[in-house]
Amino acid sequence: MTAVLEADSITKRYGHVTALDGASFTANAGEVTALIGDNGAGKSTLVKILSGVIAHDEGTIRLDGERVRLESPQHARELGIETVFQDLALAPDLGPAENMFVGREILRGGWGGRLGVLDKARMRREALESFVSMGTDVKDMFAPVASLSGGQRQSVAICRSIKWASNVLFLDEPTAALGVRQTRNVLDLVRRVAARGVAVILISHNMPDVLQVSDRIEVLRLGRRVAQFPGQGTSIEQLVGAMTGALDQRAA
Amino acid sequence: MSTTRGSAPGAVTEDVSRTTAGLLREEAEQARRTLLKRALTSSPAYMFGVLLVLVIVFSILSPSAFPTTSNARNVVLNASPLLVMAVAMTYVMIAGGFDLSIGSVLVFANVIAAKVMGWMGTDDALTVVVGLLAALAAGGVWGTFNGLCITKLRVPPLITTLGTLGAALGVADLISGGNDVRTVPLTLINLGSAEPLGVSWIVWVALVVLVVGGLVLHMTRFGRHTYVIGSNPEAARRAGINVDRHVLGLYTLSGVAAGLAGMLSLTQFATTTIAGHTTDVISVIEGVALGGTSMFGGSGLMVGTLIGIFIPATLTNGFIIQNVQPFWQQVATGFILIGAVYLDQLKRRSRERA
Amino acid sequence: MTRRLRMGVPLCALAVAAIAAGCGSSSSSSKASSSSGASSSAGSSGSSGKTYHVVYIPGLTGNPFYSTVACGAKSVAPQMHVKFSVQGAPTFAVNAQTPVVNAVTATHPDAIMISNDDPKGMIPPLLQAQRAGIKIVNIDGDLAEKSVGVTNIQSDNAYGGQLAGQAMGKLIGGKGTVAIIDNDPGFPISEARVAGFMQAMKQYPGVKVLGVQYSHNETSNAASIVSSTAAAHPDFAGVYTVETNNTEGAITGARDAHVVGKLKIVGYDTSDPIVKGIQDGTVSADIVQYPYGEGQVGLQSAVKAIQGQSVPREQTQPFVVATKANVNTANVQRFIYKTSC
Repeated sequence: MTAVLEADSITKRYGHVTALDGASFTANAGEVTALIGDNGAGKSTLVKILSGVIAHDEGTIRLDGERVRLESPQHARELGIETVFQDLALAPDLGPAENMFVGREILRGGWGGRLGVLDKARMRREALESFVSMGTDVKDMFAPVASLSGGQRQSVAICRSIKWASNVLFLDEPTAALGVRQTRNVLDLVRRVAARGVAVILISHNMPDVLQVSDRIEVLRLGRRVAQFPGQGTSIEQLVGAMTGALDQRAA
Repeated sequence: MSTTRGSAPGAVTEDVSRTTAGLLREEAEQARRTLLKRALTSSPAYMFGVLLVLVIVFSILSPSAFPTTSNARNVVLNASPLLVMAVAMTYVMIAGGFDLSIGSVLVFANVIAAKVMGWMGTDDALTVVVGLLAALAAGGVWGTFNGLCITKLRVPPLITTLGTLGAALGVADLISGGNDVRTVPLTLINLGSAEPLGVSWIVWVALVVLVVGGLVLHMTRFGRHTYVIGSNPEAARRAGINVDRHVLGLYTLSGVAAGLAGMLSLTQFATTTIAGHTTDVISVIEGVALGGTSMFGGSGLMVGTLIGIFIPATLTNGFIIQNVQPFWQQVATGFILIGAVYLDQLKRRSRERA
Repeated sequence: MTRRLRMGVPLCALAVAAIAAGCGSSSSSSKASSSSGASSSAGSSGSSGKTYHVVYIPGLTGNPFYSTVACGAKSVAPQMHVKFSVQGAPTFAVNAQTPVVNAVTATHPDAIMISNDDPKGMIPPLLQAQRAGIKIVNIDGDLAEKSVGVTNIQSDNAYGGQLAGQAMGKLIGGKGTVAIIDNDPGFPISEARVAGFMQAMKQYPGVKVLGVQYSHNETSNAASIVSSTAAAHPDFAGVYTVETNNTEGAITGARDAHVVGKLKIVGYDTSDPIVKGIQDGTVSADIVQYPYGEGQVGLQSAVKAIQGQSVPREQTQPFVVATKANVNTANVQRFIYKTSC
C-alpha cells in the first residue's frame, strides 16, 4: 500500500499546553484508517492540522511523498484533502444537490456563465449520479436537507466531500448520532469511498464500528502515536488498553 | 475528478449504474412534478390566494371605484419605492440579516439628491442623472457602513441598523436644517408625471429592480451563496465562500436600493419627505415576511416579496374606498402577518419532524 | 389536521379583513341614511334635495385638532344634505397622505376637505382629484399652487406664535432661559409658530432662547427634554411647546423635575390634559385655535363650491389665548377641541 498522507513528529503547543507532542500518522490509499484516542489525546488537533484549519509548530507532512505545508482549509482542499466535521456543515434549507455544490457551483456556458448563471439541471444530475453510485438512499434532489434523516444527511456530507476529495477524506464521528440501520448504511458508504482509492480517516469513539470498518487503526495518547493495529484480529480490549496506556506498545 | 486512483469493486458498480440510468430518467419528470407541488404549497402561493381574495372582495364591494385602471395604477405607484427596498431586504433577510435603517437612508439619499441638484442649479437630463448617482452613492455609503460594522466590528445587524436608523436621519436633518428641500428640477418633476406605456417611470424602475433582483437571486451563484449564508454561515465559510464580503455586499445593496427609492420618492413628490419614512421599514419587512421569506434566513422567494408588498397596499386602498376606519387596515395586516409567519413555523416544524 | 390548520390561518386573517370591510360599509350606509333622515331640517343650501358626498382627509389620524375639524364639519353635515366621512393616514407625511387621496378620489366624492401634509408634494394627487371634478377645500395647510382648491381655511400660525411669545415674555418677566419643543423639523405650520414666537422674543433681550428641540411627537420625549433642561439650566424659566403632545409631555416633565409653577409652560393647541393643566396652573398659557369653526366653514365652503357658488380663496379663523383666569368662560370653552362627537 502506498502512503498518501504521512505526518511525522507533529508538535503543537498552546502556551504551556502541549496538544501534540511529536505525533506521527499514516494513511494509505484505498484504506480506512481509524484514528482513536481518549478525550484530550490530540485527535481533533491532529485532524485540524492535517486539514489545514490550524498550523503546526514542528514536524513534517507529506502528501504522495512530497512535503507540503497546508496554509488553509482551502489549500488543503485544493490538494484533495476533504473533511466532514461532526456538524456536517450542511445548509439545512437547501436541497442535497445544492449542498453538494456549495462554493463550487457549476455555471452555464457562454454569456450566462460569465454573469454567474447556475447550471442547476447539471448540478442536480451530477449530484444524483453521485448519490446513487455511492449506494445511498438520497433520491429527492428538491427536499431540503433538514427534512432528511440523520443517516441521509451524513451521506450527503460524505458524498459531497468525496466528490472533491481526490486523496484524503477525514470523517469526524460520522455515526455518533445515528441508529443501528443508518450506522450500517454510513459504514457501508465509508467502505465504498475507500474502494474508490481514497485514503479515508475515521475518527470515532465507537470501538465496534472502528473494528468493523477499518483496515488499520492508529492510537493517540497524550499527543503521541502509541500504537498501530490491523483492523482484523484486534480486540476492543487491546484498543482500550492502548488508549488508556494500560498496554504500552510503542510505535515502530 | 473524484476517482483518480483505483476502481470500485465490480458488483457494486454494475448494480448501481443500472439504477442510475433509471433514476436519471425519472429525475426530469420528478423535477417537474416537485417544482409544481412545491410552488402550489409555498407561502407565496397561499399569499397570492389571499391577495386574490382581497381583490375580488373589494371589487364586489365597490365595483365602480376599486377595480379601475386609475386606482390600480395609483396603488402600484405608491408601493413602488417600498418594492425597490423590499427586493434588497429579501436578500438581506434570506442571508439571515435585517436592515432597519432603510427608511432613514431613503430620507438621507432624498436630501442629498435634492441638495446636489440644487447646487448644480441646472435643469436638464444631466442634472437628474447626477442627482440619481448622488442618491445611489449616498445610500451605498450608509449600506457599506452597516455592512462594515456587522462584518468587521461584529455588531449584530439589529443594533447596527438601529443605530444608523437614527444616525442617517440625524445627518439628513443636519444637512437640510430639518426643512424639506422643495427645489427640485422641473426635468425630474416632468419625468415623474410621464407615463410611458401608460405607467409611470417610477413603476418601470421598480419593475426592473424586481425582475433583475429575482433573476439574480434564483439563477446565479451570487443568489445561491445568499441562501447558503442565511441557512448556515459556517457551512458557507467552510465551502470557501467569503461570507463577510458577501454580507457587506448585501448591506451595501440594501443601502443603494434605499437610495434609489429616495430618488423615486423625490421624483413622485417633488419634495424631500423627511418625516414620511419612519414606518417604511416596518412595511418592507412586513411585506417580505408575508411573502414567505423566513425570519431566520435561508429561504424565501422574490415573487413572494412582490405579493407580500401588495397585500397591505391593497388593504389600505380597499379599506379607504370602503370608508373603513384606517386603523382596521393595521389590524388586518397584523393578523395576516402573524398568520404568514405561523405558516412558516408550521412548515419548519413538520419538516424537522420528518 | 395540519392541512386544515394551514388553510385556516390566512382565511381567519382574511375574515378579519372582511369583517372590517363589512363594518365599514354598513356604518357608512347608516351614516348616509341618518343624514337623509335629517333632511326635513334642511338648511338654506339643501334646495336641490340631492345628497352630497364629502370626505375629510386630516393631516394624520388620532390628532385632537383634526378630530375637532371633523366634528365641526359633522355638526353641519345633516342640515346641508351631506354624507360626511373621514379618511386619513397615521403619519403626517406626503407619502402617507397621497395613497389616501388616491383611494378617496377613486370613490368620486363631490368634495374633498383636506389638511395638507405638504404644500407642494400634495399638488399632483389633488390635481388628479380636481380634474376628476372633485372640489378641493384646504383646511389648515394650503398648497403652493393656488389653482388647486377652491379655498384655504386656517389660522395665522405666525401670529399665533407671536401671541405665545408675548405671553411667555410677560410670564417670565423678561429674563431666564426658554426652551422650545417641536415635533419634527420640516413642517411649515410648526415652523411658522416657532418663527412667530422668536419674533416676539426679540422684545425681551434678557431672555436666552435655546435652540428648538424635537420630540418626534412623543409625549415621553418632551417630558425628558423638560426635566433634563431643568437640570442643566438653573434659570430655566419657560418652555414653549408647539404641539399638543409636547405640552402634555412638558406637564409631566415639570412634575418630574419639581418645577411646577416655577416653570412657565406656554402651549399651542389643546387636549383634555392640557385644559386640566390650565385649570390647575401647570400650564400658564395656551394658544387655542378654532378647528371646530374651520370644519364648519370648510363643509359650508365645499357645498357652496359644489353648487357653483363663489368662495373666497383665503379664509381665516380666530384664536384665543387660554389662561387659568379665562379657561372656564364660555368664550374660551367654545374654542376648546372636541375629540369625540
